[in-house]
Amino acid sequence: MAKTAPEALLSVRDLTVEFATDAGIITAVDAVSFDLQAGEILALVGESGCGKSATALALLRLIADPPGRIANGEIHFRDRELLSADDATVRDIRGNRIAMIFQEPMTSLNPVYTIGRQLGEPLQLHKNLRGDSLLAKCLALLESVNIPEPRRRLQSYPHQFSGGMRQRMMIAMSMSCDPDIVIADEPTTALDVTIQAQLLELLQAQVANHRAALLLITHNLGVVARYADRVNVMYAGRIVESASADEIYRTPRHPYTIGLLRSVPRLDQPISEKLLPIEGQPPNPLDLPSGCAFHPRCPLAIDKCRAEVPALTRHANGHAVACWVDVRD
Amino acid sequence: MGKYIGIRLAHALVILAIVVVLVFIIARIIPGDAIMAAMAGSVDLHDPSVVERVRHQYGLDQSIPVQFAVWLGEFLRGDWGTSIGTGQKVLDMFVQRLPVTLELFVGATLWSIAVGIPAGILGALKRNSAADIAVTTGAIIGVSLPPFWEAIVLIYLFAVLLPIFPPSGYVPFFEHPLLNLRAVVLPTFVLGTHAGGLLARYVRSSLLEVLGQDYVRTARAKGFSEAAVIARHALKPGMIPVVTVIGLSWGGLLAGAFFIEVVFAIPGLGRMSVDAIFQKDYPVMQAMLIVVSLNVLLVNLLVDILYGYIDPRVRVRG
Amino acid sequence: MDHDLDRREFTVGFLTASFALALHPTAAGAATESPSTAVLDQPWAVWDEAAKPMRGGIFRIAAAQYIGKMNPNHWPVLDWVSMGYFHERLMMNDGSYNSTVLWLAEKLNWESPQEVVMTLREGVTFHDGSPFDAKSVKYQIDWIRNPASKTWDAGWLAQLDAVEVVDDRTLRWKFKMPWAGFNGVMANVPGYVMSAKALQDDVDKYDSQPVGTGPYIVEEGSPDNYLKLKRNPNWWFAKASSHPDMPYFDGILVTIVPDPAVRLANLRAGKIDVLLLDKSQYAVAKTDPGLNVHRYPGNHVMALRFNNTKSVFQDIRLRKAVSHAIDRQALIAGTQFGLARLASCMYPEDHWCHNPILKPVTYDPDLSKKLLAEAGYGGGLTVKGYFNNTTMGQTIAEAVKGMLAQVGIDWQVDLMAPAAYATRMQKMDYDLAQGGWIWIYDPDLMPTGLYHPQGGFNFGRSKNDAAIALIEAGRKETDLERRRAIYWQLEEVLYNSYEDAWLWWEETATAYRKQVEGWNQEGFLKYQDAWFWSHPLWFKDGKA
Repeated sequence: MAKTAPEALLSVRDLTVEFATDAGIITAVDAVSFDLQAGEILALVGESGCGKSATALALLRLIADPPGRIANGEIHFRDRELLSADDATVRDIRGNRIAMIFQEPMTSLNPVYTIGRQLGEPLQLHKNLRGDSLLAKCLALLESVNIPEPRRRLQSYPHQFSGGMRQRMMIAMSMSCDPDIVIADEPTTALDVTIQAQLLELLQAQVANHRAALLLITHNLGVVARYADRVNVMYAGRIVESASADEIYRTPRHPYTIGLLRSVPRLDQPISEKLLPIEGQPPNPLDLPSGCAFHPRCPLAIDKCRAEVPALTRHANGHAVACWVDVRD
Repeated sequence: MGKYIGIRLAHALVILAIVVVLVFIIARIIPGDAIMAAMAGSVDLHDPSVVERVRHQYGLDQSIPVQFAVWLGEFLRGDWGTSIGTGQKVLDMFVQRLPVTLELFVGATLWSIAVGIPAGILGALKRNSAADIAVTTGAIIGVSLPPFWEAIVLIYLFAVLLPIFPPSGYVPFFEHPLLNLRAVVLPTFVLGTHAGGLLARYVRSSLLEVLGQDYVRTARAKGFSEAAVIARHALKPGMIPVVTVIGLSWGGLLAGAFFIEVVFAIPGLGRMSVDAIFQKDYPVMQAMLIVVSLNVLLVNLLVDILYGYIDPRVRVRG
Repeated sequence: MDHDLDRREFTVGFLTASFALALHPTAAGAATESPSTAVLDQPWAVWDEAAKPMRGGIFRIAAAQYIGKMNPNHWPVLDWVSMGYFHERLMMNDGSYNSTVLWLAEKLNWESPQEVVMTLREGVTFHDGSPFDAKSVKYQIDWIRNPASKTWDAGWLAQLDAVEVVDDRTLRWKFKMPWAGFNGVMANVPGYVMSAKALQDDVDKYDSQPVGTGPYIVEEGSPDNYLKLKRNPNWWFAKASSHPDMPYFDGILVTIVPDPAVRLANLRAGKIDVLLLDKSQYAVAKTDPGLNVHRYPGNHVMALRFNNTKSVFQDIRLRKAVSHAIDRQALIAGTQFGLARLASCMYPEDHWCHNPILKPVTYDPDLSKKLLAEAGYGGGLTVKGYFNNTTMGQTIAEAVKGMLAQVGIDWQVDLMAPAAYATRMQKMDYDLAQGGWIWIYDPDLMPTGLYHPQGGFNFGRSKNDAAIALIEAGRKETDLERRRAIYWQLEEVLYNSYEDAWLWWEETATAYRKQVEGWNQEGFLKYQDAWFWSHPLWFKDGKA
């Protein structure tokens, strides 16, 4: 268990999210705890279905209920606990102190309203901007994310934007109220590979300018390597490894993390070394394996892995891992 | 937007032309002609001269292409012919009866919107609550009650047992506004309830679908309250299919008017059509079919234009 | 009222079966022998003087359809009851549907079988103030006969050679040949008297603004909605009958209500004063304390028609088998709510040409089976046909189908609208189908229509030489008693050959609100048409 960091900007403890399905209850996020420090970029990494998006949505209580439900946990943001706060308090934080960028910029923008209207909404709501001052701020926002002809573009509809422009507009919108935290859920997955890097650069620059912390949800370790300060690796609803980005790359300590790293190409690796996908399928969330959920796919699994769930244990350099086996052996 | 409307209009005109030809042909392939139909069982048919006289009077002894050419020319000049049934000018009949049916339609549409949209929104917002079940059940009842039966029951309840409204009949608004309103309450209710039930179901399902959309989540993530999310982001896109349903049910109102105007003895276009069909009154039937088609086409055009207004994506597709 | 011959036809005479059409060639001598022609000397001219009718109120009736054209000679007229309130005829029918009653014609003098001198009533004026006289009648008759007038009944005057004005009140009618049907025509559509002045002024306008001599005057009409009539203060009959307050109502409002259930609702809600009941409504209306319900015979026959010439029913044994397989009593009870009389043949029992010797065909399924076996269909017989697709039609067709199935006949019956089955009737595309006749006035019309080769409803399906000879003889016979004998014989011939399977004669019921007074059931049954128009009703205390 990670030690409490009172100075953390956002502190998540034992967050548990469940979804009701026809076949039964799924625990998508299982007692997840982590901290986010002011100004840092924290990556939440894992395969799809591992619970990273659910974690992100839960932070702002955006889990659709039904079918979802935040079953347990605490989320401390500054001096407030969000899960027990009233709706008005949470709404006052959403889009204002904590902003979100979603995966699909096409579907995440309302097709029947102009870019200008949607971009200005957080400012209207939280900063009470109206009329010319609102317009001026919106123009500045679009300019800041390098959208040409911003005045004309404010009149455009989302379908008239390219995917990259839409996501840049989303970034601009997330920055509009100078948030403390930006949560970006797979912000580039839906985009063409050629502009992914460009967008991430923009996002990185923007959070830096606004001195905001970034929670970057991704399945892409390449992205993590390049932009993140720290990394949390998730598997089957739990954080299995947490460390600085450097640590994770140099000395991964969870067999799943190792597997993930081997399955992606790395610049510091000889070409001759083959990419090795992790064997087996991600577990069925309705029927998780006993003990460590990764053990059926783990080449190093021992009997204990099948019987007991390993806790996330802190080691040197703030490196924490949930594994019964020490991979360095 | 101008080009978009132009294309829609051109479509409508082509369909109208097809309808005009079909209408004329269909009216004539129904077995039995007007004279036989109207005179079957009457004492005078044993005298063939009677039949021939009447057939000649209405031009029914000419070939169908000739009848068509003559009729179309006159129709376009505003001469819609003379009703076999009433002896009135068909155009005059429409002018007299249109306001009556229009009053019913507008009333029923407003009533269906007033009932259907709030009920649908309530159902969607309070999904699976008691209110939602009430809305869903009410909508199913509204849609599935046979209007004919509903009308008779209402007449016995509110005109015979509890004499609040007249059992049937119609008084023009400008003749006696109060009597007019009393006379149209029950028929409007019956006609609009059916459409309202349909509308409530569509609004509910459409809103539920919209509420599951990513952009609604985006709106929530901006910090909007649930009410503001609905009002600012869900209603307008949620109305896209609803506009279609309102358009469709406007077309469907005419089918309802067939029953309602007969049951409530209202001298509107529906009654006139029923009489014309029973009497095989070609001039009226043809004009009616064309006006019905025109009505549907116009409503569709209006729906298309509204679509373009509501959904900017449509305008480009043209 | 939902009858099965033709629903629309019923709307024609929806109020009572016996007010309207009458086409009947009566015996020439009938009118000439009449000792007095004054109104007060007529047998029906008796009134209950103790009743003290009150004047006032608007009498509200409901019609299924708007009257249509109000010039009776222009087609179609959809409501002959309203027609009778503002137009009167020269002649009328008596209680046995015989056109012997002198109405606007005061005297008929048959100078020869081809020539009649007609004297008109005195002191009759049209609603427009113009006089009813010989000139106006001649103008009307010539107008009807003029092809340019586009009248649908001109053919009924085909035997008329000329009509001449003798003096103001006298007309001479000359025929091309002896014409026994003259009286009947004068009691029918061509006999509805119209203002010559109005016809001359604007004949098109006459369709919506008719001008007659009747007890009420057309005031205002709104097609499909209502027709308003106002009292005629100068009605000739009031003076002629010494009842100056006639007619008693200030006016008549005919409201158009197409649906029978809604018509009843209007009656029970007090919005109308009288209603011809749907049969299914009879029992309910009878128990309503606010209503007086009267039932009386209707002038229709319901039958099943055989294809006698081009089907298995050429064989009389099979026609007989069908006729005996039908339980008429059960049909009347089950489908007509008891409102009908067992029919033995085509003319109803109260028709002057009905042969009283004939008894309804017995229900004898064993006989039917025997006959089928004899004819070689012991193993079953399949026949096809059609029936009206109204609810009532379907009920009757299913009941008959069930009865026929009991004896081994599979009747494959299609339910169709009259317009659709008219074609099948013409093409003789049936074995057994809906038959019958409504509005049986002139005794010649029905047998000619159904059994004569020229008949408009025969299309070659019936060719009974004995019957055809009798039909032709009946047309020529001018003596009333001899003519009656011919039709009795004709009925017997048709009966014995099982030409059709006659099921029932119609009965009708009418409900009046209790406020309506003056109905005399006995007088109505005895004199029908003549009684109804000479004995107007009134409201108790003169209020609706």
